[in-house]
Amino acid sequence: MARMKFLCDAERCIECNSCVTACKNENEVPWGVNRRRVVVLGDGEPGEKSISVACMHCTDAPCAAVCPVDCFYTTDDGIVLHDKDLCIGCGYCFYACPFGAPQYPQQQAFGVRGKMDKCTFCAGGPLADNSDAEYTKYGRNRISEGKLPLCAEMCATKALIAGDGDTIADIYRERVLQRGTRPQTWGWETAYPTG
Amino acid sequence: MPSPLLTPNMLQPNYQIQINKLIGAMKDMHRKLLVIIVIVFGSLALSGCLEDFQVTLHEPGVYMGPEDQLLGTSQSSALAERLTTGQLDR
Repeated sequence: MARMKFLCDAERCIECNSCVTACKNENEVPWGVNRRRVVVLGDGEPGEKSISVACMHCTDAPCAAVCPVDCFYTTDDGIVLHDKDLCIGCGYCFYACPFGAPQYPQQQAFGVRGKMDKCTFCAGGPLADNSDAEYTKYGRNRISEGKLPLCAEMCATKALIAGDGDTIADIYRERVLQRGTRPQTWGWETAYPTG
Repeated sequence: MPSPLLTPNMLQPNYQIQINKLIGAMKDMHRKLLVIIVIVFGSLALSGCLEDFQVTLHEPGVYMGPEDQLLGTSQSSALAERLTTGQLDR
């Protein structure tokens, strides 16, 4: 069984934000919500690095551990998804997530945030696959169509790769060997701890 | 000429009795109807105050939402092919 993961190659990312645009366009993400964003490390300094960050679909997801209504579930492929009908918008997952992935569409009085929204690995939600309701609530379900997340497929420099963890680790290992640099799998140790 | 068996004077008390009985029955009916209405509306009004004593208990950390179809329909082979054809270096 495949274990779906994201990997962003910081040596290749050129901060073009096409992944962000692709995600927003494909999933009709509401204004003010960024399921994916590009973070620049050491901005303006020599050797600055850019990385594309979204939900990493952690092995032992901390968001699921703290959710008071247990709205999270993990698919057989290791994709962490949630049910917006169960979500109460408490924001605990936002505080627990080391990547700042959970997003909230509303900012109202008394701290009302609305239902949490996050990257679904383009796998939709618990509603019927490719239904209008699923698209409205969770965005496109590309996985059910045998397609990978659009952010990774759109990446011009192939910095962002998504798919089976073993395969993308092999791809990255080859690159590191060719470059002769040390591997920098940003976020992997946090999201997918070994042992 | 024979005298009539029933004269208006003779009938008057009977009518009065009948009317009184009818009025009494109607009052009784009204009272019963009022009691029924009070019971029906009272029970309806109080039903809103009813508490469900059956507390939903479930194990913490167990997802309680609808099952995702994706859980059973893995597209592993198609996705693996997509990864090796689309995301490798050009």
